[in-house]
Amino acid sequence: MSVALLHDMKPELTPEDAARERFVSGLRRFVLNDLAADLRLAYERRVAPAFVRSQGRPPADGAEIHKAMRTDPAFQSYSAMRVQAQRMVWSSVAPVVQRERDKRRKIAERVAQGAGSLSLDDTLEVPRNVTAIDVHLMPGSYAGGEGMDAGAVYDQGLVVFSMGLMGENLDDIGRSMAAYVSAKYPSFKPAMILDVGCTIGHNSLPWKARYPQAQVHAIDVAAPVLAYGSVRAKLQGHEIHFHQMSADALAFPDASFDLVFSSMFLHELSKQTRARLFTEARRVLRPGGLMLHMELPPNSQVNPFEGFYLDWDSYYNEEPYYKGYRDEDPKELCLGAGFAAEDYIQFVVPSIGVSGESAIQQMVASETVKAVNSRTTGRLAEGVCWFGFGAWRR
Amino acid sequence: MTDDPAAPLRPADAPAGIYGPDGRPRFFAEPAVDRFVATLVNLACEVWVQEERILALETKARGEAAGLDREALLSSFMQRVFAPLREPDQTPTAAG
Repeated sequence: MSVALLHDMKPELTPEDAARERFVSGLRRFVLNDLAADLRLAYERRVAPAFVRSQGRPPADGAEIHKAMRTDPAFQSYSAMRVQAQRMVWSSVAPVVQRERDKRRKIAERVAQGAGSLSLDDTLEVPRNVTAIDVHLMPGSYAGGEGMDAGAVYDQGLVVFSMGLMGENLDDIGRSMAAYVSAKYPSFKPAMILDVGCTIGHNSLPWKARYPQAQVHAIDVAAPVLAYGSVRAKLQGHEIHFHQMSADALAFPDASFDLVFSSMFLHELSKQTRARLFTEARRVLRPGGLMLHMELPPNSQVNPFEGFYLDWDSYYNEEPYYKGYRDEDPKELCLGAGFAAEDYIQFVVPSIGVSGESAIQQMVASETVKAVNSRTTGRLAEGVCWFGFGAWRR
Repeated sequence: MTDDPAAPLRPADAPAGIYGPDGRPRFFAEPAVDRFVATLVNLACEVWVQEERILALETKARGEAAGLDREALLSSFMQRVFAPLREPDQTPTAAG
């Protein structure tokens, strides 16, 4: 399903642009559904039996499956196709983004006085996890290119990448998480909300929409995505305060937020940075506040094949910390930062775009606990569900 | 993960030989096959772009309103073009 962004910076596509983007989304859908199904079949039919014959036991973890799958044609075809599809996500949108620089500049000038703010810090040294690699194979990563280009490429690239599964405003994760929190904890009314690693703020906006009285701040280390995100938020009438800031050195006072949130961010950080983020999140939370992360499910809670499947990105999608993050225990991460074991929470919530808010409300009301170890948890494919975890601050 | 700031960022447990000298992932024993797959996918994209142009022209020539289900047509195109990559009994034809 193709979607079009909701705001005025959405690109004006020529028929050729649209056809090219449609092809890439369709290619990803084919790879992530059809070839991924074949990958599982190849494992069950050939690779796992051969492993058992040679080792006398099934593979113990995703790493063993990865090594065993490397020479199977299903893995080779799936992987080569998926890498090329990922490169084409960005190459299909880059010409459009370059063509529309002047349009974005004029829009930015038009909404400059809108509610919200942008604070950039040119003394901040952007870390290597952003500058040294093309994250997600996106050329220049979040900080490259001219002006707001990286933000525009990321925004329209996500439209192609997500195949409609992140919604028209690419905010399905934020909307699903906010819907879950408001249904599960109806008395929790955060007045100060912080989104860390926000990129273009696409998952910051749903928190403002859900809690309109709240003051919402969003941080990232990369200026181009923040500048773009600020304009994007203003265009949609959301007052968001964007800051160029590192998540492991928050320039906010102690006990200043009720909710600290992140989405698909922890796996982009080194182990040390991640640990400091958790400590910082706890420091800036007020008593009674919630730290909440949407992420991939941990390896300890999925079967070895799912672990192998999800960790593919670590090796082949320029996300070198991905598996290291998934090998960590989310509860231990929280405890390590000083949160109490009894204050830990985790859940799997269905995509609000796929299932609707009523499904989330019913799930909460019936105290249904969706399984983490599922083919749909955290995987951008049909029936996607999101994994969330965190802890309350005493 | 190395502390050398000049070293590429790679997963600490990446199996040996999964990247080529250019730093890109290698999946096939013969590196040229990786490039060939990318070329074929690019070519398929170009064919699809032309397919959409032809569909638009044909629709206009017939005086019809543009009501084609391009997503369904693309899905069928993918299945036809990339059928050889599927597990032998998983192609739409084999599955009936």
